[in-house]
Amino acid sequence: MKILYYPGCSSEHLARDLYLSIETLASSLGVELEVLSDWNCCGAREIEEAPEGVGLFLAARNLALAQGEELLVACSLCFHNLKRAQDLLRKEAGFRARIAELLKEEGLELSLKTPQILPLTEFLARLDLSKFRSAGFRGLPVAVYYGCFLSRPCPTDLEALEKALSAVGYPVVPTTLKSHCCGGHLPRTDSPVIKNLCQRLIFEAHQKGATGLAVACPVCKLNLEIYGGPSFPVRYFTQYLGLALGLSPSWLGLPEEE
Amino acid sequence: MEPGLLLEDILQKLAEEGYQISKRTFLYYVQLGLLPKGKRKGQKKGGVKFYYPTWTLERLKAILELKKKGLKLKEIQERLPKKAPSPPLPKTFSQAERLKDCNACGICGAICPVYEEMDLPPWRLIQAWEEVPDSLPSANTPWVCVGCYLCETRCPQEIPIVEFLRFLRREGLPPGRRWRKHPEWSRIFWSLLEERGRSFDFGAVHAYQIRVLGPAEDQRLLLRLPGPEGEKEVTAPSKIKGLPALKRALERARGWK
Repeated sequence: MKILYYPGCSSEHLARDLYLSIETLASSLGVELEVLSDWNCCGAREIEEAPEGVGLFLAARNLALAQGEELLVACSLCFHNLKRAQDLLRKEAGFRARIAELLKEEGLELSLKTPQILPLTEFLARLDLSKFRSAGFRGLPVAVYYGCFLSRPCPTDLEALEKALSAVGYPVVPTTLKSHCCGGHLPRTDSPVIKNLCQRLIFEAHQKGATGLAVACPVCKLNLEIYGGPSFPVRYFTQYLGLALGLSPSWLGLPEEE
Repeated sequence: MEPGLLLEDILQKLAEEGYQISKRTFLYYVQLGLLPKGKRKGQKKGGVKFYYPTWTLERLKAILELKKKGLKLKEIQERLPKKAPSPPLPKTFSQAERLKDCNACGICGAICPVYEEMDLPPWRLIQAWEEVPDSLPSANTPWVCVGCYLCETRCPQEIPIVEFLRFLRREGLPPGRRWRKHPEWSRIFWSLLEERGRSFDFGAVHAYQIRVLGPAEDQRLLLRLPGPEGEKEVTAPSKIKGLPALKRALERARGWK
């Protein structure tokens, strides 16, 4: 199976472990990741202070480059930016016309229908992962955390993480804060509030008997690691999946002793 | 009436856009008549502050651009229009109609995970906007919002609160009170995006200190990580092929009104 894939800027830097685990996981599941040719940055949080056209254009260029039914996106913020822009361009003919004009520079054309923007969580949940589970693997209980952008304003399947992880043998502990906020960009402002937000999430997972927290978003993971308290493991859900498939921790961006 | 911008706000805004100018130079330009004089206004807590008309910002940018081209101050003075531009059109929020539905129930403030950091809850800004759009009370609210959309999903009137705060941030409203400790990041982010088409995962590294060394072609990025790892060097993002076209399109998109 082949799928078109938008890596996003974090894949080249601090979320390298997420992307490493995605690549490893894909090859062991027999999924061919076709990286979107000449993709560009989605503008992250910074587009919010630029004129609307900037964010729309950055997203639209990627969408126009994506010639296919689906576009797989791993980073939650990229997912949000691409999805928000796609929805807005579908709704507002005025924006659409102006963006089409900008895309002409490169001879690109935007399609209204495709691609469908597919979050990594949903993509992995729809595969039959149970048959790849390593024989004799016994998973310890984990809690899951989706964060904001997979939950709002364009909600994705909020059972996807549970489905994927339990398919490979992890008991998933139910939590109430799985769609709550980790504090996002607050550290940039030196606000002390973020500690509370992160520690609360870790506390709940810990109290409910989880041995670790499986997350999907690079920003959430960093915030939770830095502000959530030192002793509770926070890993990408793809890393948990890889371990259950018997893949070497170092291929998943984890320390060797895991 | 909009009271105008403080000198500090003007300099910060310019720094975010990559312009370098000192307070002293600014005041020198005022003295020369290149920039308008500030309006003196007494403060409640005592003391006075000077507020400059909002078009000062655009005019100063124009001056700095001309200076970059090597023009002398006298030549610049001749080129710039003598009079103040006609007053800007009132800023309009595209979904302004929906703000009228706000019944000040207060849920948006109560549900907000970062409410403790806000000077005013979102509903207070909505109410103030409904009264006089051009004169919002001073508040850091638009800059504190992390965009988690919790308020929007819980608002009984389904008001696009996050979009409204985004709009205020984009327009630099309310004037005079911003809350961003690290405008430098924003500047680096955009310069990388424009020079390479890809940037840095600043969303994720916002907790770190970053240093950029060297010119655009040979940039070195150093990150200081909290914890035992200390400072580490990372590679600058790879360049995209369609860069010239992307640059042109971005410039046009920036001109959107």
